[in-house]
Amino acid sequence: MDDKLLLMIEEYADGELNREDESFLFEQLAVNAEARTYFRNINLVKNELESAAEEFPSHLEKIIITRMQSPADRISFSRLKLAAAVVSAVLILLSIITFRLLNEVSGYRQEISQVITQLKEQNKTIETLYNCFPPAVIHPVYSNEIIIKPKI
Amino acid sequence: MEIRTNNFLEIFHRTKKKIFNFVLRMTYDRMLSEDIVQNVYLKLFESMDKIESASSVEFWLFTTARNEIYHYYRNKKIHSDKYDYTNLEDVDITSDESIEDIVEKADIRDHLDEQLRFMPMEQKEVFLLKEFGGYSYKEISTILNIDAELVKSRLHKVRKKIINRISRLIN
Repeated sequence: MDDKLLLMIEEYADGELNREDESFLFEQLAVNAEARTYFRNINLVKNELESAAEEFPSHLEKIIITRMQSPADRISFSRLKLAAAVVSAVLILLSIITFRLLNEVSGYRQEISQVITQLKEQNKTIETLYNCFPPAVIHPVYSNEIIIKPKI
Repeated sequence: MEIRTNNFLEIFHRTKKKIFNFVLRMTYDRMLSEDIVQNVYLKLFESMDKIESASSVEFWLFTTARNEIYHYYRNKKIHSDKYDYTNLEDVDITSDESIEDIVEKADIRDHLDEQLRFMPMEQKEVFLLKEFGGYSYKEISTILNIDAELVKSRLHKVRKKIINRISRLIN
């Protein structure tokens, strides 16, 4: 049988044959028993394959949907990561502040110890100055006469 | 996020049967098919933002499935495992069809499977994209990156082969 006719039959079965060629094909089918058999067999194969098509396995569907939904978990996980990042940032900020405060406190402490040392030195200086003065001698001055009256 | 998930589910339910049957007939290995289909849909979910239109999704799915299959065979350098043929014990006896018809159909299906199993990949994929994907010659040529005429000629070769075998069986 002519390959061109077979191709036309296939094109018709695939829904790809031109309108103009359709009438020619039907004419050929009417007179050519071999073409009719081929036409019938093409449809038989198509129907067989259609009915042989299997349903999608339900366990596979479950797996795909579960795995597909896991990105949502990943998103919540990423949210967790975001929260962790924020907490870490706050902690770092607090650490910096604490460090700076500690620095300042130690600075104040140094200043205070310096002031205390200065005060102590000043105290010593004052004491030394006091000690440098000559000893004070007190001479009493009797301005009133002492009258002694005997008791006879 | 919810829109993306809903879009994915809509595409998944619309295409899952086509893709699964395409991969299953390409590999004739159920475990491998399930792995490939799973990868394809997970890749789809990750690439949802990149896919422009609903019509391009199916192209993308078939192309990705095909790439996954070829990738597997390139890496493993092996061919398909045994595939469960229709067993006569599984035939539904409550069906309206006569037992002869059922047996004949089971035989035809077995022959179809047998031929598909040993068919060259480039012929098989054209045939399966047509029969399970329902694509036009032009669409198949886009997916496979070949000429539409080549698609037509490969399809013709496959069909001739299959029909010759089935004709012998029927006669």
